[in-house]
Amino acid sequence: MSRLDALGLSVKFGNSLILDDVSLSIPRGKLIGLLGPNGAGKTTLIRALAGLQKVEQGQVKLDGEKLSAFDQQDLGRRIAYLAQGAECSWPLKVERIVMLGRTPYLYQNERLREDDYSVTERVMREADVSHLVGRTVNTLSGGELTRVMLARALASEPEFLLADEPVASLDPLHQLEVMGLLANVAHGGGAVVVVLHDLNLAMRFCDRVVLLSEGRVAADGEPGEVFTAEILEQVYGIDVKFGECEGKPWLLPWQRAGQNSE
Amino acid sequence: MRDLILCLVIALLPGAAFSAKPQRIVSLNLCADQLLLQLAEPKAIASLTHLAADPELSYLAEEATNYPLNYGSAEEILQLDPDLILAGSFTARPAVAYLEKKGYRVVKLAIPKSMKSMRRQFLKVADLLGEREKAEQQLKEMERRIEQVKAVEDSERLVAAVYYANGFTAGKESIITEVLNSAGFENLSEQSGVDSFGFYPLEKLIEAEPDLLILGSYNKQRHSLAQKLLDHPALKRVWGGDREQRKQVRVIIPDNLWICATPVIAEAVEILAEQREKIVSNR
Amino acid sequence: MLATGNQRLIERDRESDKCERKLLILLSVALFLLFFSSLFVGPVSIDLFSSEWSFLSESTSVTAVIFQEIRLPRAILALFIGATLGVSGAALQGLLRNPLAEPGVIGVSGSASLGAVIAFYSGAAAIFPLALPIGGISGAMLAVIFLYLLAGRESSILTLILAGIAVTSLSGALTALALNLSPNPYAATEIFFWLMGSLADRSFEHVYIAVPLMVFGIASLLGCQRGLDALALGEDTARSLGINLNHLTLRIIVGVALSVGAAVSVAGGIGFVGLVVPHLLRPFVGYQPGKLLLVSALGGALLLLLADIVVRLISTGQELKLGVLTSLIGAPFFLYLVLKTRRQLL
Repeated sequence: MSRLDALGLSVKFGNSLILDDVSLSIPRGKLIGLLGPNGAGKTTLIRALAGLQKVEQGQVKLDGEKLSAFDQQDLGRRIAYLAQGAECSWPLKVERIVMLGRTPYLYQNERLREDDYSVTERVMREADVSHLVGRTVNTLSGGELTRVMLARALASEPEFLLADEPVASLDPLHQLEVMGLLANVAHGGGAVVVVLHDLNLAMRFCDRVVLLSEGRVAADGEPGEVFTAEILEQVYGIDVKFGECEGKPWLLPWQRAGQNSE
Repeated sequence: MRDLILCLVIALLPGAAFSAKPQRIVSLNLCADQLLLQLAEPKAIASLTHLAADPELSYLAEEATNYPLNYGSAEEILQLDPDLILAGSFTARPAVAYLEKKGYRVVKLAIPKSMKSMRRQFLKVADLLGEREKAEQQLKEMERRIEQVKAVEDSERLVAAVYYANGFTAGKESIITEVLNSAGFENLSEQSGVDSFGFYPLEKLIEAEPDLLILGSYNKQRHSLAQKLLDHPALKRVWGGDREQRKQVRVIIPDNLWICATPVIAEAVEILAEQREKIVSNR
Repeated sequence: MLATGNQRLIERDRESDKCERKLLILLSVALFLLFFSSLFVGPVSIDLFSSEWSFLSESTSVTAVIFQEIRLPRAILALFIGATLGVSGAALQGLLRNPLAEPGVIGVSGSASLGAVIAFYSGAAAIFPLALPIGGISGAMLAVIFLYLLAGRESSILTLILAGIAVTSLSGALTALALNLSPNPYAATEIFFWLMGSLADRSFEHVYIAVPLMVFGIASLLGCQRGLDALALGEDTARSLGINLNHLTLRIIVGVALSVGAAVSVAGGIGFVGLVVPHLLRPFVGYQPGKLLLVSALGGALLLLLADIVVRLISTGQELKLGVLTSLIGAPFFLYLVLKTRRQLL
């Protein structure tokens, strides 16, 4: 069973320490939420896991081997990275963007093969973007664009999917759908790491939550263990109200910690 | 203003008003340089143009290096306080206008378009310098050399084309035509429609197939695209220098022999006549 | 071409492939016709049906010489230089993700001119003919590297254009200086050729020294399809898709420097071809930066052959510089693109 491990990662931008000795193990089959306040180092960590971030100390290992030992194209097939903000410089067609996910399977200017097309069709169905075929990217809504980009990442058929805030710009319905999709991918045998801000989505969908604070792992475990009043006050500085629905917990950030409610 | 006109009128009257030879003569034009070098007493020359020392353009370049050279600015000339300034009709115009206004004696030389006007100009300048005798002698020598060439001329008229840097050629109203005629050639430009000096496309030149192609100086040490044109492979293929059997001949005549109209033109006539013999004997 | 959601992707893709192939065939046929017509345009008229013109004969007949020594090298140079400018524009636009990137606009041509001028007027090219393209290539290389360091990571349009203006003015001034220092009286007037570009009276000597280098550069750029496509999604995404960005960047820098440097060293800086051609063709290839490369090469060759024919047809006397014509077409285009991307400038 393949796994992705971060061992004692430290990253500096100038003089400020962005990641400070972060260790993390990502097994397959789980949806892992990466949370933390702004500036906690979430994006840096996920980029480091994807092999896109230079680290000062520590290393990222895939199946016990350093990432740098892998062929870049091979890595492309095994680890997919979904960047924040869904950048696209040219008004490409939706299906073309999704097909770009097949890039790690092609050499030089090689053309797509039959199975590349069937994978593309499948992931487009999964991400619910099949009806967008033929549309250009600049005509899509934020939610549609995110799902197209997600389909692109899935098209690489990766073992590990690293997604940086994929639901940030989505309406509640699409947030639920995208999280459901990520959970399906994880439970189908892949590993998904997703950067989130929404504590409830994490609580509801993630199998495991990693809470970062000031470049360090503040808590790591099942959502129920991590999202306690004490830890959330420490990390976010907030008071949280808890509730329960259909036997599952939810929480509501209520006020800044230490403030008395009227 | 009236003074100025009077001054000019006097200047143009050959040697009448000024019996005394000018002592500090300045030239602002390459061709005036040549005339001074050929006619004036060395100590009377105060300054020549910087082009006078360029052996490609100036026939007497080596001698020219003995004199102070100018770049045609009024400031340089004022310093020399000349008693005679020779200028071209088209060169250093701002300086010339200024110097005229200041009351200096400026004589402007036109470009002679025929042997006749060349002789006239040569004598006129000689009169200004008080060197008439010298001039007549040199003209006589030139005529002798040209006559000698003409004596061996036969009836057949051959066509020659002159091709300078940038694809320019000399037309029918130029002294070049007369030089060519003297050597037994017709100037191609009489058919080309170029009047005195103008552009002639490379393709047209090749199409016209002149018997003799005369190229301007091509100095391999000094690089320009303008002169590189004279090295175009198309010209080599038609007038290839190495094949003796060709009916067409290609020759380089140094620009300094006929860029200015002076008696050294005789040398160009001689070179051309030699080439003519070569062509005729190859037929 | 109308989208029906249910149509299978593979069929849609084959169909758009067919469209792209049609475009390639159309461009190639037009290119062939223009290349051929180009051989019959000039001050001397050559009869298409005469037996005198031929590509190979050793004859010294007027027609054969004009055809082989003047017209043929000229058409070949127009073909390759046009392809160079088209594909370089497309590649730079893909790399910098910016529709305004073009060898002339961002100063690569100007800098190549400087290198070629130094090689030519110093006499190095007279001793060793390859010094001319090498000079051009070195100049182009310096400019591309400088621009990439300055604007590559940022990809801000404003930075790129301002850097281009700076490089162009500096290299223009140094070119003028080099020409002024040349001992040849004709040299000083030749700045126009280097800044505007022309194909008048070029010969096979220029074909031999420049075309192989251009072919090498163009081939290097055409191999960047997959990388440029992936780069449309940003640098991080491209790398996560297995693209080695350092290789890609190096390949484009070397490809542009080789081809543009060699082109400029024999024909001067012909502007705006690399701006106009990719922009016009982009919609026909679904805006894919990779697919744009080959069609831009063909389109560039087409435009330059056409411009070179027009220049000969409208010129009386000394020929109008080719770059004057391409700039007359290109500069308004540039302005239009600037206005269109104005929002991104701020």
